Amino acid sequence: MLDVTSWFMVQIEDRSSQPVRQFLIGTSDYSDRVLKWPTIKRTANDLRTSKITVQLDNADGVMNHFYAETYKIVQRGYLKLGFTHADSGTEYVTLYTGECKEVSYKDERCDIKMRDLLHGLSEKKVGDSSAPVTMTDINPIGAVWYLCASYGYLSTITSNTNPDIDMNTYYAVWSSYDLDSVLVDTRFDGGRVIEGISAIADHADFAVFTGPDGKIKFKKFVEPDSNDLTITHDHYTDFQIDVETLRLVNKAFVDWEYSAASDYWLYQCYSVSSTSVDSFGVHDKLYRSENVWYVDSVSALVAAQRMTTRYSSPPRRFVVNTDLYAMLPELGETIRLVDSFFNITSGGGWRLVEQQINMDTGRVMLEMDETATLNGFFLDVSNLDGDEVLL
Amino acid sequence: MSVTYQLGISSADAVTIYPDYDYFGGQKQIRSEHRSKSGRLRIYKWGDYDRFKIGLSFVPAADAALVNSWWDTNTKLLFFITSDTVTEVHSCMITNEESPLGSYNEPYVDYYKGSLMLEGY
Repeated sequence: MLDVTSWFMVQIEDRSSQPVRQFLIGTSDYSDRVLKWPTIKRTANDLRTSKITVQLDNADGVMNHFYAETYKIVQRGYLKLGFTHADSGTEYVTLYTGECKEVSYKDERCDIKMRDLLHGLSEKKVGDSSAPVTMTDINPIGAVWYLCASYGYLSTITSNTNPDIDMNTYYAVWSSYDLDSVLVDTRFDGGRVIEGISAIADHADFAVFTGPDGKIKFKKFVEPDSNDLTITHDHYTDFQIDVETLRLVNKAFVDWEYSAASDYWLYQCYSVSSTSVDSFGVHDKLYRSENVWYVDSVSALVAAQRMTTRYSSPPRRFVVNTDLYAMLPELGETIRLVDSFFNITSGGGWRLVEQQINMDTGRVMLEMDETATLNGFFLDVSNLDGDEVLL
Repeated sequence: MSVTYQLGISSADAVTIYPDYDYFGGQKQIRSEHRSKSGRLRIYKWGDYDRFKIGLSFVPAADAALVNSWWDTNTKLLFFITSDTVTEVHSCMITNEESPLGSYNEPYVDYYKGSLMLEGY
């Protein structure tokens, strides 16, 4: 949850409130010029840069300096929302931080387009075909760090003062893989840094996104220890449930130990959920990558079992339209839903995987995923003689 | 108790106007509303601005020309509403699509009529 005072919480729960919005470029406040406030979209479903457009009034030509002196566009922009306290002034919470990348003018309007930090990683490459960049026996998130720091030119500070990477989330994911002794090798031969990170995140199954403060965050979905927010029919205006058998995986194959010289994977292991196969038939999925691969059977089996744990039953997905009441949770946090018709009680939590905040209307869309709220997984060696078989 | 309405760049050059009975003066809110499934209403007020709609008749030609020139040049104006000794001042511009005072006021050709739209800035 974004960090706000209790007074701020009272304001967003109030049914009649007067929110104020702020748009800053550097330290210059352009709030009074905004014609249309943007919708901020953030997702953990895939690795995607978050881009937004802010429409500003330029009838008097004051915004012309961005094209007259183009270097001025290279600045950091902030979108904030808050409430004004009678005594202590306005308390803002930052909802988006990004780099101004484009400016366009039409009639009396000036559009500022911003991209987040992930976009910068799509403008830089790692390795080339004659001299590929390789890493061996490395924690998957450690490989991401190496890509960000050495090839993405992001900060290498390893404490919370790192301006580019949220180190708390980094260390949390690192510990999770370290606990399971998961190690990978990697090989990159000229692709974009963002493609390399995406390959690792897909293969090792963790989410990468930028937070409201502009820092890159990591999240590996495990069993939640608490739920962060409760949403009832007093809060939402629309509610949709999708049950997606297309995402069902009850037999997961993981290829490991890739040989670049021979272009094949030396080994394979798999995990199967017999209960799911009995109910839904076989749903195979093969996980393999030429950029990242597990180095031993333990690591590969952890990955295979994680997939059959997450996707062995048709995952349910909830899309809820609500208001500013739900603007504070961040991706990866858990939310309780209550709906009597669908018999959804506050007993379960659902993981927030996508969030859209419409700063123009105050409408907030949340997408919650059941698979991301999985039970914690621990490798039980006694299982090795059961359904999970090493090939 | 009488109310006096004046419009001008400053109080020194303001022209006095005499609104018809269809005068409307107030504020317009910029807000959004959310009605939840249980029927609860949540309203966000993002801001507001002054808005006046003033029907005018028998405006002398000189005043009409002045008001039309303010409209033509998109001039920032002050709208004074004086009630006894109290004067409200509103910063506004003329937002008519067409010249606000463009029609003769029958049977005269040196008096004009029309409608004035003023909005705060």
